[in-house]
Amino acid sequence: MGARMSEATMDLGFELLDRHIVDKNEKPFGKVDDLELVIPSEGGPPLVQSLLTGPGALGYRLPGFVGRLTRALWRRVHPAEDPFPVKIPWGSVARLDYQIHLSIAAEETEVTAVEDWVSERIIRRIPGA
Amino acid sequence: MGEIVMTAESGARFGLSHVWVVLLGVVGIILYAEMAGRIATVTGRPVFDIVRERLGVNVGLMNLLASFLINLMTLTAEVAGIALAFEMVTSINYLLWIPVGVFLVWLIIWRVKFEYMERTIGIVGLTMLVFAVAFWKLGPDWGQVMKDVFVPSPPGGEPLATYMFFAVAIFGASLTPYEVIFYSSGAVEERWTKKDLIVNRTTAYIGFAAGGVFAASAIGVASMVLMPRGITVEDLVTVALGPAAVLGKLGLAAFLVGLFASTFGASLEVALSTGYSIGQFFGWRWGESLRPREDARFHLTIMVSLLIAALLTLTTLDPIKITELSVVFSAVALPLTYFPVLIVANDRGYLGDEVNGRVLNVTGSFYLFLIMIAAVAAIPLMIVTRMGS
Repeated sequence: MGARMSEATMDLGFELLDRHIVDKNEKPFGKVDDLELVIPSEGGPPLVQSLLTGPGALGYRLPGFVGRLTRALWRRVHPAEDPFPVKIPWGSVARLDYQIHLSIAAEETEVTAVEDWVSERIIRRIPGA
Repeated sequence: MGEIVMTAESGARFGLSHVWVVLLGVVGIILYAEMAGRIATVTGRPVFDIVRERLGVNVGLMNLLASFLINLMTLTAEVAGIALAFEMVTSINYLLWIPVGVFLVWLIIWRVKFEYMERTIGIVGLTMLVFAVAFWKLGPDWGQVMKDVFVPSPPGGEPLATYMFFAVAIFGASLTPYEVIFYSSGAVEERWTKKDLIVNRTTAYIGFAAGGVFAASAIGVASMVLMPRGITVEDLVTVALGPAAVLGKLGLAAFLVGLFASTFGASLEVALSTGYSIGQFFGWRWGESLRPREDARFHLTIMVSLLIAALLTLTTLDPIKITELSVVFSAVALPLTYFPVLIVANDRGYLGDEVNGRVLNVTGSFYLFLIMIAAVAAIPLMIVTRMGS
């Protein structure tokens, strides 16, 4: 699992974290809110296993009260009992430039959970939505 | 609302001695709107995407929060402006018009397509140029005007701190953060491509220059109608005296239409900007071209912002005071929006060959320097001069 950025080196904090992600239809998917790294058993530098996105991931990067509030709200809204942040395996990354292009569609993942919640509970109840 | 109030106040008290600030502000907003528009056109990344990518999540979030609060203040002032325009026409207290005004703003955002909305605002807003006509008709001594603009001499009797306070406030009013947020997001909404870069430049130049002509001539009219009679500006009715005294009923009517169009237009733009900035920061789907059910969080943000603005106005706080506060805090927050724009406008990773040229960078950096001075000076000046009183 994971991918080694073989030839080019890249500053993960600057060129990957907080960048914009678009899905295979070039629609907004989210931001790279956190990274999951693994240390290979055969040794060597850590590899990026997956990108994490959404308030579930962001909540852990925000300090103090703001972070706790973000996580609590996300848990409240998320349909799952004990939700885990949305994970994008590195294999689903098609291409990188100033944004991250995925080879999957947003609808195939759980990334739309919060949007759907707001849409169903509030917005769709207003005429003309 | 910011420019309408601040220019009239300044003209009535300081004559033409603040017109140079308007000119400075217009060039600044043109430079930065063009940069932000170019970045958005080439990369599809409006301002708050860039803020997050360049400043990281913690500093970026503080930036987002500050911009959001200022947008709320601006929105409150603009919504009050719509209601005051209704009041001047109907003589029914403005507080009763606030729910009507806010509902109309929301309805337009909910139902009307971006292009129609933006074009209509732009065209109707041109009625504010009634101030330019009025100034022309007043027949000022143009030689003296040039002298007052380029060699400003604030009238005696006013402390320097008060003069500077108004300078910072007018600067803040002409460069409000929402304008750049809205402009760059608009480029994405209208799906500009590289071919539209010319459109970007022309829109930035003509649109903001028209705003500058309005602001400068509004100072001029106030300096010739209000100042000699010792009238100070405490409400919008006083602002209307200028065009009404010079052009009669027609002048008053044009002012009222222009007031409504510009406050209504600004309310739309600021309300959308609250949704744009937050949506872009968190990577949501956003925009007017989608149906509300598809970008529910974007629309919810706008609705909540409008509701807060309406409630703040209904506290019966003086709309003029809210406006003054909003432009001062705009001045404080300017570097937060403008700094990341200047940085990314130089990044080939984003823009390829469309990065800033050298002249643009020198001017852009000079403006960033000015913006920082204004930002640092704004609050101390506000306290020392007690909001210019």
